[in-house]
Amino acid sequence: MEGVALKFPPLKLFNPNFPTSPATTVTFSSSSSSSSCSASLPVSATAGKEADSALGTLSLGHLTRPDFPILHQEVNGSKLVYLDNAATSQKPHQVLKALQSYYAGYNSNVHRGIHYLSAKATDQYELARKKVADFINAEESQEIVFTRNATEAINLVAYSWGISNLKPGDEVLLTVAEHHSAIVPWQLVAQRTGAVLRFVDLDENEVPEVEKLRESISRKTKLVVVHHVSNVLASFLPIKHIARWVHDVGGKILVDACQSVPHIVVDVQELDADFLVASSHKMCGPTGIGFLYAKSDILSAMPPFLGGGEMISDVFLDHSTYADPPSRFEAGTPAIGEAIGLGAAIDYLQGIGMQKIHDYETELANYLYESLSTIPNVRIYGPRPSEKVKRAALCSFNVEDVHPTDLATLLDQQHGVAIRSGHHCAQPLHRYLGVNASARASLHFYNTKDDVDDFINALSETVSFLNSFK
Amino acid sequence: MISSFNQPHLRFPSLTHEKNTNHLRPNRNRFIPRIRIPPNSSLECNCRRENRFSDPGQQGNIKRPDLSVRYATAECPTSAISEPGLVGDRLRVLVSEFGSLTEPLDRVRRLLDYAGRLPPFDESSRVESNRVAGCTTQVWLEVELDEEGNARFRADSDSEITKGFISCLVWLLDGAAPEEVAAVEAEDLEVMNVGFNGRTPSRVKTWHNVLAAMQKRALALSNKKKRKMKKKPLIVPPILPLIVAAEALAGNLPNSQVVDHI
Repeated sequence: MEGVALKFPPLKLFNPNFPTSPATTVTFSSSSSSSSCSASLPVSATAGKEADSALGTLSLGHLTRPDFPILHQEVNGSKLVYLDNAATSQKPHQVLKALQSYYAGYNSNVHRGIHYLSAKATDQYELARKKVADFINAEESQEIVFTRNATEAINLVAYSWGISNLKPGDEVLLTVAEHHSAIVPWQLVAQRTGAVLRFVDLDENEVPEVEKLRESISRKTKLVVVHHVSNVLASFLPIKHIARWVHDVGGKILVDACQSVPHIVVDVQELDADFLVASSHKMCGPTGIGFLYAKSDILSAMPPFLGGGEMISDVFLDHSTYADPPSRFEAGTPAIGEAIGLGAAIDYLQGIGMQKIHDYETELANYLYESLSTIPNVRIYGPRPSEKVKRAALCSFNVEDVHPTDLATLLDQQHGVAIRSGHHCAQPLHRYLGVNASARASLHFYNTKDDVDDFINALSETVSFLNSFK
Repeated sequence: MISSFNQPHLRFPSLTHEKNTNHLRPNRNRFIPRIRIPPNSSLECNCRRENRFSDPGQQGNIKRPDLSVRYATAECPTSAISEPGLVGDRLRVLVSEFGSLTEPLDRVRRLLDYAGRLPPFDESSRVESNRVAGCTTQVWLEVELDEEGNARFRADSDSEITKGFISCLVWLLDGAAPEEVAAVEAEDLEVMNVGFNGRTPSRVKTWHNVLAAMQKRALALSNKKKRKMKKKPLIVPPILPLIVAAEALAGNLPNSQVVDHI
């Protein structure tokens, strides 16, 4: 059974500047052998607010919103404005349908069974693996290990590769902006192996100091663990260059791609990553599934992580032999339905095109940053966007003398706006920035500039309200 | 050693103020203590209890009449011993007040108002040992027992809404016997909830954690005092809601075990 990439033909508005026209419904569907996708999109005058309205096209956000049922609800009496995508993304109905179809139609344990349902489940599960491999341009499917999420994937590398390869005095290089999931497993492993963790600080633009990172790489550096896109600073790191530097000294690089895979084109060949991790739930897929990409020669040499069924070859009472990767690292019954759901999410994203998503989100990122900058006494963390410096479509920020939790509480309660407040699993980064917590608004391709406008208006009102009590 | 407890307790400022919320609250000056109220009544005792935390020269200004409930004024005994049932009375006042505010925004406004009335907290007391664990905002709490063995609380937070909650909790429990402090359940104060609709205890429900910390520390001090007196049995603190563990695990792993074939 072949997976089919779904294509969205471009949608043209007949007259974007006709505010009193009634909503017209435009329907399109892609013809594909294994699944169909259709979207009915109301055409409305709000397209006039979009920057590309001059071309007569609806924004990607307006085009895709109808596919996400969860976005069309009210919370606390206001329309939901969901701006917490860096925490988790929403799922299109195509993914929900894939999950439903699996559980209703062919749920069965994989790899072992001989009967029809099991064969079908196995095919779809392995097809999902292939879709992930193609999505990030891995050489082969066997380089993709399904895990519960990116955190488990990093732990897999730490306990499997790390324990058997790190010696006392070896160095693991990270930045202060890493997510806790990229830091803590290496702390645990460093305690056991005697390896040393070194952290690179930020420069004056609030981006990890890349030159300092380069200088810190030495013969002792066995591993560099870095984010591709920061979930707080919205900054990008030059993974390709860092990989070259670390390979020159015989080390390896682990890329935390949680905030990049859902939003931009990620090509592991181009990056030359040794390890790369991501989570399904941040890329429109279900929770409970993520993956580790690792080069096949590295993976083949790694000892097992979790032991149990499925990852073995032969089991005796006093010893066992182990399967080849990726099975070696997939003990027990996997999250089969969820992997298939992830495959459906990848189909959906491929149908739009990751470059298109990236371009749209760059526009949103700039709009969000500029709009947020108009709030008095606001402090946005990370670099200023410019021609040379791109930001992801998220802003972590603080408003002077206002606690971010108070902001988030009132934005939710009074305006239905969902943002996050806290340390965003980056306590070392917040400590470095000298704050206890920050608020964060993060967008995805199904958000629109209208969402940003709603957020800014609500934020402005909330700040005035809170300041009135001072 | 908490030196700030030796200074006069800064009472809540008079309710009459310049801010827009004036219309929500009556002028405090109407409630001057005159008559004694029976114990366990639903009426509020408005006297400032004399102890080393209060300034005897100033008029009492404990909160917080609700517009819908009329209070008789009362005279408190000056011996500053906690009256049994005082926390219960105050709890009823709080629940009544917040329960009458049906709009969540009005509850927020009331909390923010109370936040402004929390007595200033010493900068020097904003230390790790005073932190309340498990909160998304920062909360500092100081607890001491006065000469009568009643719990005295001072607290602060970097979040205004949390300060509002703290302000209510301090008013509710300040000067009460540790046993009465321990008897308050978070469910009793559900009516104060703002925003969070979930029932599961979490870090987000900061004030649950603050209440639990107040109870735990008050009981710990009380038990310590009783151990010294060696007279009364210890009181077991209530089961605490989800609290972040203070200590990280050391890097020790359990020894691997070889199982023999039998």
